[in-house]
Amino acid sequence: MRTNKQNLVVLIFIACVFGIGLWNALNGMIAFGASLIGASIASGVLRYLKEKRIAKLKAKGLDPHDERVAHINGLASILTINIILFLMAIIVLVGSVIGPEVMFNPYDLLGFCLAITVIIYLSTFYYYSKRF
Amino acid sequence: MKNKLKELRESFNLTQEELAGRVGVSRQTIISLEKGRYTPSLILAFKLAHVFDLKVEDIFFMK
Repeated sequence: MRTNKQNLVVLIFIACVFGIGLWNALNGMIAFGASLIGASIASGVLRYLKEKRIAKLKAKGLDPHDERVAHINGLASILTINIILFLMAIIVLVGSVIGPEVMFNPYDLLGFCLAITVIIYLSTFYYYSKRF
Repeated sequence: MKNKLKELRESFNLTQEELAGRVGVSRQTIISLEKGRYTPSLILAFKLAHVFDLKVEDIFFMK
């Protein structure tokens, strides 16, 4: 379970995302704004439910973030880094030799990389949680 | 590494959740330990030994 200070930082971050979404929605970028608002509300609700569940387990003396989870987290992180590095190396190698030159919005590219990293991390975490 | 955790827990009439609560881990960790899929840290091994009033080597052993 996070400390009150960490919870406050996350809450401020979610509020900022909500604010940016609202600002965009009011300035004509309705789809982008609505997606940010939806994401901030969904993450806020999910966080609330998760913290509630963790508090319930803690009250029973159980620790959902115990050493096994830390162990799995470490393994999943290392495997994620290795997969990302391998994929980047292959893409750079193949792309620089035979690939066409392409123009990307850097923010879209970073968002895509972020999404890929999160998906790989979640997959590896799931894999190791089944194994251990 | 093998262990006698399941036999000991059952002989003490403890559920997995109760044992997990006593040593401060999740129920999934106890399940993994009992199945021999996860090797505990030294601290957790000592905590488990303390619950059953045994030595660590009486619960965990190499095979």
